[in-house]
Amino acid sequence: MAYVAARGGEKAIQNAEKLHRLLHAPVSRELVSMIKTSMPYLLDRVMGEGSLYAPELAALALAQTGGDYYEAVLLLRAYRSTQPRLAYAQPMSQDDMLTVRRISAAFKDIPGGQILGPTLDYSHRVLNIDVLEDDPQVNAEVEGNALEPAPTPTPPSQPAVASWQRQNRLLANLASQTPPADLADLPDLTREPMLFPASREHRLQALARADTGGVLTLGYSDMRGYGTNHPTVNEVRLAYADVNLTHPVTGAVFSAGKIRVSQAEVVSSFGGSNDEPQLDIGFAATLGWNEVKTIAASMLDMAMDKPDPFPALSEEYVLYHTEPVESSGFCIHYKLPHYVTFQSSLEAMRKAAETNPGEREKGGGGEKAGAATEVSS
Amino acid sequence: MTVPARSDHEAVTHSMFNALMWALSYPGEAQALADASLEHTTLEYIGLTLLDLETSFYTPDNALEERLKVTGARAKHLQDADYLFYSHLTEDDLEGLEHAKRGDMLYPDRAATIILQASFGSGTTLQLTGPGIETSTALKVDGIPAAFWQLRNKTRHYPLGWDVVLVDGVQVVGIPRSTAVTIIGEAS
Repeated sequence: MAYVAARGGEKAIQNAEKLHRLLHAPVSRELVSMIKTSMPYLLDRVMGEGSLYAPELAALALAQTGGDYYEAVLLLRAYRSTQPRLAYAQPMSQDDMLTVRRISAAFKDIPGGQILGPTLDYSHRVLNIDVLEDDPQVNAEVEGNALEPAPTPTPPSQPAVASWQRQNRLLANLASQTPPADLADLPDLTREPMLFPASREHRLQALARADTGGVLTLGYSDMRGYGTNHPTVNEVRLAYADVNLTHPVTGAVFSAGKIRVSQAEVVSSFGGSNDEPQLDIGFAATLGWNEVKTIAASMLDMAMDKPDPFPALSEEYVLYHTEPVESSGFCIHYKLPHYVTFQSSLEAMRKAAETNPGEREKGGGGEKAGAATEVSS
Repeated sequence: MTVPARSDHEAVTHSMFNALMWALSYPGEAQALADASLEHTTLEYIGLTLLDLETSFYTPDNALEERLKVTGARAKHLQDADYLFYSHLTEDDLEGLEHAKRGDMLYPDRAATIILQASFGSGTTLQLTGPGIETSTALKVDGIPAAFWQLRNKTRHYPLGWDVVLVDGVQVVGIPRSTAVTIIGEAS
């Protein structure tokens, strides 16, 4: 670490913050509540990456940072780290979730059928300029959009597509897993560092709180051909899951509330063995509804397991570089004074120029000789 | 920025945490728990400060175990516990104590913290050296078998080893694993 303690400029620093606040709408309860009700998908992203399901706090974080996304995630993570853990929730099962959307690109007639649920997937991607015109017609149209209830209601939960495939030996059975007797013994990435190869728990936790953009970038590189996969989306699911707790006195299991969760499963035809070819599967889930992230992450989950993956699809590369707080924090730390390291780089350059004056005239190599990179941070 | 008001309980555990932090930063120097009420013993206050749902503890004292369980921490076997509480450490306890967690090179932080009731100002004189001590410092401690210090020396391979907190009344003294302890005078 070669930082120099920068002194002085205290007033400028205070004014910098004031200026930022002056330039943006004041943070108020109304603003927070407006963000909370109007931007659920943005909140879902912040909460997923912040690993804290708290819509009001996520809205506050966005309001307080003026929508600076990584700052908002950081605020939420920082707040989370101050909170004691009061209880461990029971494991959630796909089969018990109140599923509002569950589609498969693998089979049309999946058990339970395709449930489109709330989505803009099939809408025209055009800006509705009329809204800006305050056209009364627009409001009238919205009112005309009232849903007609289906003659028979869809069941609240939907089985996993993978369960059906396992029954039909298309997929290997899951190793039987029972949660540890003491739920506190579950590996927890927020309490312990990640080691490689990462445990299954750590990997899924890392993907769940990973940066949406980062996961998409690496996932997309896999999709474009840097990986060996061409998977099919077996299932995308948006659901409300109960957070079931055990009452500390009576021992009864009760729901403390529901949270929005999403998950994706992708399959490819390269699983199993020569004797019994089966589908290979990748999985990811996160807090909040975030289809792009879970699809990309489940593809990465599969890509990371391939022997000798492309370097940018290796487990260590993916999980380290998609960590939103560490990556954004490292990036912005470069704004801190690096006067000492930079000065030493300059000195090295000058020294190289002095010892090799001839090289410079010849052009080429001489100028590069002294170039030093920042290695201290 | 408004800060939530601390409850009495939070205030005293906050003060306890500060005392423990300074005690382990300056080994051998007694730190006092400010604002001590007599509702709990200092040993219990340390438990209430350090223990929560995600930690584990061991104590041979059944009454103390019951009182520490209210933190939600799990009572575990000695060799698995994060925090060990002894209201009266005897020679007989040492055999088991030898198996207390010392951490491993990858996770030295997984070592046990041992909290011992003692009395300062009389008994064995210990000489402490190491980080946080300018040259060396002497500490008179009673109520701890001298063999404990030998066991500690034997099991201490920095960064592995136990962090020890001694308690007398409202005072705490920290002896982290980085501190070397020599017995320079036996109890008179």
